[in-house]
Amino acid sequence: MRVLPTERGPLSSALLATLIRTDLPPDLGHLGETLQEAFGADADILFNEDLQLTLFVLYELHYSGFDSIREDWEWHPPLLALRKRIEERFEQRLKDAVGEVPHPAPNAQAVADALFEMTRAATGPSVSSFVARQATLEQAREFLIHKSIYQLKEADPHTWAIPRLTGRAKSALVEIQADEYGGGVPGRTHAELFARTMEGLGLEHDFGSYIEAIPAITLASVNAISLFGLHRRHRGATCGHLAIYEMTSSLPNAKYARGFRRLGFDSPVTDYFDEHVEADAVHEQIAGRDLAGGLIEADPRMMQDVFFGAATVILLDTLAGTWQMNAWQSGTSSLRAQLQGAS
Amino acid sequence: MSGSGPTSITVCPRGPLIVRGSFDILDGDNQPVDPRRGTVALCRCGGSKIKPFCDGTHKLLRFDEPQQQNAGRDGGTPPNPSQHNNKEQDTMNENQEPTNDVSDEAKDRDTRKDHVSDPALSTDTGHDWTDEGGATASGPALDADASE
Repeated sequence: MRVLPTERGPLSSALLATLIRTDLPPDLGHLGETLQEAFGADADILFNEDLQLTLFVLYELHYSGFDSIREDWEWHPPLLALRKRIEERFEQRLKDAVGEVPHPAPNAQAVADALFEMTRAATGPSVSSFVARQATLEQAREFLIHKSIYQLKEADPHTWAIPRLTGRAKSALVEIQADEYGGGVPGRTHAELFARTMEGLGLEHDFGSYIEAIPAITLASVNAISLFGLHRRHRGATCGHLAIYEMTSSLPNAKYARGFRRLGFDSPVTDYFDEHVEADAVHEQIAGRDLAGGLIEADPRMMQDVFFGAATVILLDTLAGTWQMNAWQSGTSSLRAQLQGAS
Repeated sequence: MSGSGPTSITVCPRGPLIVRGSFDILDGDNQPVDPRRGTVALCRCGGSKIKPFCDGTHKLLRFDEPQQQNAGRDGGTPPNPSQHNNKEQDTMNENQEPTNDVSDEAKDRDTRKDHVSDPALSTDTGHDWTDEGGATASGPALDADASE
């Protein structure tokens, strides 16, 4: 990202003030104290703007970073320690919310069946149906802005898992990710297709352009992928997460395509959605059977983590979708600040 | 742009055919169909709007469900029946709410908080939108709105 975002509370304020320093002080004890106060405030971490923004900034150091600060903050031990404490709270909150997860027989097809079943059993608000049938142009823009904080770096968090897998699961992840990255053809990565969709609606399409507008619950959904992707111990969750992402993609993306055509758009705006209808009908089969299933078949100890990652998607998609639908149905914006500059 | 190496076809239970390796797809006039990726999913349920490719419609059609696909199949053991496995009869039913099945109600209540949301499975009006298209420019995406 080009610039650091604006603070959302005491902790993100302290972090951002630290990151603009050039001396990388070895002791950042004040951040730990501020974090303790933030935890003490007892707000749900999934909806806590200050904590989710802080975690997002700490994770971004490992992706494209921020142009305005020193790059070696990425592995600065006090920041890693701070991140670890937030992650522990975040992960515990996710585990508490997810509860019991399925434990099918440890073979690939049974795992795929159980994952597909989770998507069928889910009963959340349908953002895709709303976009297909009712969303206004402004709401369609909001929808893209929410998605942009992941889709403009689509596939990157899951790619962290490739070196941590072997055999069938590794091959499956490489096969999916290669497709996500456009098969190696410049300009065809899914992130770039999404950028063209945003461009077509008159939106900025550099990663993070709309960070100020994105609420905590949307940040939480992308922070969860980074949490899984950056920790080897969560390679199972990364696989389960990707499997559910793929399994809940083809049908909704057909609806999104339909919605944007209803609003008068066509290619290249709709290319991203059309591509996902077709690509993810392939990916969901590979991700369920070969990736998640292959991983568990090779090592049944991965079962719990795979399904934890899977259930996390369903949880957070529901909460983020509910957030958007509640706003739209009450006639307000689902973003933190009203869109500016987009006519 | 298919992949390389030996060709394999995986028959996905209740789903498409996954074709890997080196292959050509030809239409009825013997003209090549661009696979657009190395591995493809070919429609097996007949409901796809982007045939010959799969678009996930088999889930809406409940293609090949239930049961017979699993019996005696290698690697085909169904999920643990103690987990979520008796939902198959209700999630795809139109007009299912309110359900008068007490156990389903309790289960829905239990799961609503945490296990929610596949927008594709929405039960709102006309959710079985398999006739609506929308995935391709040639589909009825634009004109279908007039009927709503």
